[in-house]
Amino acid sequence: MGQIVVTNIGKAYKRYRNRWSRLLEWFDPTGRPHHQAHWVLRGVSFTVAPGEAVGIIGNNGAGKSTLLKIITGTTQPTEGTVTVNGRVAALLELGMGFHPDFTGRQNVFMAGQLLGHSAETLERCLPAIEAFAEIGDYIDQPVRTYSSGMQVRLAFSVATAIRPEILIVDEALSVGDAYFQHKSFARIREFRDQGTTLLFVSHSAGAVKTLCNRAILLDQGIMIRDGAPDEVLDYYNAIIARQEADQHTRG
Amino acid sequence: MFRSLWQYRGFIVANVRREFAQRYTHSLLGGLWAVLNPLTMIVVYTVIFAGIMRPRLPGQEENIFAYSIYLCAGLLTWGAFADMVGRMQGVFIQYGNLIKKSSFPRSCLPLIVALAVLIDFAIVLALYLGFLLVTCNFPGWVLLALPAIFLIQLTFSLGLGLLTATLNVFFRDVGQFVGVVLQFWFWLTPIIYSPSILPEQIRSLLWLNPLYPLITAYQEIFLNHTWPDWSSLLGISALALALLLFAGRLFLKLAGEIVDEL
Repeated sequence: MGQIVVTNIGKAYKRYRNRWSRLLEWFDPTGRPHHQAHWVLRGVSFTVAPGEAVGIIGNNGAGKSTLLKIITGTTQPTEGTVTVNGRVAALLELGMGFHPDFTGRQNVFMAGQLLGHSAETLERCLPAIEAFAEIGDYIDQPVRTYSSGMQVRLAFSVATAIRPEILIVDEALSVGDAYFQHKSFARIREFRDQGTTLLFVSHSAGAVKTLCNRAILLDQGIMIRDGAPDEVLDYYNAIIARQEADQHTRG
Repeated sequence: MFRSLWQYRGFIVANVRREFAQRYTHSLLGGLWAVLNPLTMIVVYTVIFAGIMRPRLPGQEENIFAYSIYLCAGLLTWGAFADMVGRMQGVFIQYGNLIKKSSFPRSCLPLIVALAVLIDFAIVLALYLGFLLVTCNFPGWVLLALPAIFLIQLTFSLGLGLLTATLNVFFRDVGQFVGVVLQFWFWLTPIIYSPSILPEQIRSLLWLNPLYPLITAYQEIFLNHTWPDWSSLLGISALALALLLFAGRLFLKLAGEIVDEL
């Protein structure tokens, strides 16, 4: 439980020349494609063993979020396969499934059920969720009256109410104040220590170094490095430095 | 697929409740509006047609409520059909954000719309049956045919709704088109008029309208208290089943691509 096997996955979005091209493609008896494939991820393979904590780093547009979305099953890969063993909790976007007109309590149930939990389980976890989110009486107020920090806190509490076998975190934690960031990091670390497999996307080198025992570097949809966090981060920093130097000489 | 739908039943039920509650959250009377709206409609039609205008249906001259019963039999069931197709057509776009950001069985979404429409229809139907009871026009045993006929209608509207919902993601014209077609379809179906007022050539074309036998069956049950002509429903039953199977297969084939297009 908690293993992720990614085999040679690629993701291409279809680019049509104009709006009519898709219609043509659907009804073209020759079956000729009328679109160009735009690859955002290609030939990525790796295996994450149960209990491992892997950081995924790379520039914006490197394909990190697409990779995570494929692993969580939100989007399907164009080629290759992903095998995930165990229950996945994904903190891709906190507050997903929240509805502003409903109370915090009602939203806990709606968001929790979106994650596949049953109402009874959520009922049981509700005191713990309330306590961790620290929103007090607001739990019975509509979510639209919450500050953005409160929303994030409640969403994080719901998403991590039950320890998953695999936890996938995408920069979502950069919101919220320092106190809550610290607290949520502590919870993630606790899960990791209890055996949860961790997949962690971050721009913060410090967070990757402290949380992860392995790092993967993506660049323009291709995996260019896989190894110890220190080594991969050094390599990444070297690339950034060279890019900056290029900018400088060109400018 | 059915197992994953069962696992997500909590999510489905919560969203059905939300679809329903959302309309009334900021109102004082709340869910009461769900009853008041259709109630007004039935009362208005009854007062206008039974009390003031008094149109006479052939063969029903002695019953002052005849036209109101006829009208509501077609109008309420048409309403469930139009509501189902009209709301389902945009369901993937409506829930686009959720589809893009989280992983759950996409087939939950059409089901949520279908259940929400069914609740609305159940309220309307209950009011209508109450009206029939009060005016001593309750159909009695023939009412047992109603679930069977509604099941055919449900299959047909689910098929059409799922088909248009899937296509609408890729071609947004479909959603606009559905609105236009429903407008025409309403007037091409004998709901507010009786087919007997149509010229012979046009009446002979009515069989092309798949809803015609269904609406006629409802009118038979509620107004004449007779069992529907089952043989006239064979065609629409086959069509409904074929449409739902086709729409289901198309949806399963394109489900993966839907998220990339939203």
